[in-house]
Amino acid sequence: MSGVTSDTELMAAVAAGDQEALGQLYDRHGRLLLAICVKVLRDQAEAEEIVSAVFLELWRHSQRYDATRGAPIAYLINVTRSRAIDRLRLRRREREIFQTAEQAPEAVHQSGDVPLTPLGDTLESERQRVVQRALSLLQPAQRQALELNFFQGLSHSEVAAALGEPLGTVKTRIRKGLIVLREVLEPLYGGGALA
Amino acid sequence: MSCEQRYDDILLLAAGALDAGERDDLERHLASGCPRCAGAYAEAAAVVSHLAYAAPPVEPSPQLRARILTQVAQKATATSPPSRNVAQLAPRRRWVVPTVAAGLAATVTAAALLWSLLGERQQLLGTIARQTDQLAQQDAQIEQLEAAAAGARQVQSLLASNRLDVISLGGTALQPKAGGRVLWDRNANRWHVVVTAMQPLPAGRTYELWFVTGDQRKIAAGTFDVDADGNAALTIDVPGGLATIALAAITDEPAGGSDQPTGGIQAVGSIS
Repeated sequence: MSGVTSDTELMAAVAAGDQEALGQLYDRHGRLLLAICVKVLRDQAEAEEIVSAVFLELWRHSQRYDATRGAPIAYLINVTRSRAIDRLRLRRREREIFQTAEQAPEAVHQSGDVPLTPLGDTLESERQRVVQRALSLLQPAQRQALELNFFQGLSHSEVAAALGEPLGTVKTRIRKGLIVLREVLEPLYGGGALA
Repeated sequence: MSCEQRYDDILLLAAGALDAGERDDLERHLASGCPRCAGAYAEAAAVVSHLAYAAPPVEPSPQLRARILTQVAQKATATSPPSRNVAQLAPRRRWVVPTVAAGLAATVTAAALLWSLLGERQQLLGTIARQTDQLAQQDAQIEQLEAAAAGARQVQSLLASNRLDVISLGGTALQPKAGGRVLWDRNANRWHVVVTAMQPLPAGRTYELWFVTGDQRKIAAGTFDVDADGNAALTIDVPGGLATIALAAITDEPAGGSDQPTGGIQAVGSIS
């Protein structure tokens, strides 16, 4: 496979057994998927284990991706987040059972900018720019509630308990935060950048 | 309520932030096949996924890419060892053939040397063939161990779930002895299905599991075959946005499965 290829084409190539296409998907989205896992698990080694498992799962079960249900990146984010939160819940459960003290977070290799690969290309760059702008428009309390929901897998009642805030307040923050995101991200959908 | 009025709730549904009652109502509407709301849900899922960009960038270790691609290559190789063996043997054959021609045209000594080389080559080919068989066996063993480890991790995750429902499957008149259980891990939104005492099917037929929603829609959940004792186990991710699931049912279908059930119901269980 050569030239600039869409994510959807890469997913189809992976399904046809093209290892190079899988490598291109990693080059394009591996850093983002790793960032999600590190944010959830706060342990880079464990996060890399999850990312590795996600790509292996993609290779072995590529037919699980249904293009009619959304863009490949949304699918990859959803699967990665789900696997990371599963691991987090398992860890929490083990901690509850064994009453062990929480380990200090391991240092992770934070990088200031996400370097784009040659095929990370214009669409990915534009997507990141617009999404970062959308996130910057959220009020800190909205962003905090949304991140607890997204990265920790907490329900709105669990978010309320974690923040010590009334449930209604938290629901409102999550709802308004998502509406802000939807409105700011809407041009991306219209322009097809996320398709 | 109009579809436009539902859009905000669809956002919350995609984020997993709705109460059970609100969620059930909305999922029922989505399952009714409303195309506008289905489109809104796909968009909402994409919007929610963009929260991922709130995570600070992290630089992967330099080995991660190679590790992933090595694992993938091993999987690919394990499924097609014959082509690898042919490719490895080809260059040596090209080297030996000219040697044969030159040896025959030269001296008896060269012929003897050639004979010796051919014998050595045969031995090497035998060694390669044996080692290839061993590699294939080891690949198969690794595959089995990985599957067992994955199964153990799933069981561990299942036992750790604090939202676990158990649904009993009972045989119908077609298979009165058939039975089984569905363990529904609502945290992971995943079904772990175990069936027992189901009759092995003839060639060209397979069992298929169905999600049956409250409004009687049948959604294919996956096909499976049973072993000689009639047992099988499978794990299924429950699709997001599905309306309330009222029944789990198993039918027999043509190999490869069907989009909608065509065979008789062999086992069924209701979900309270």
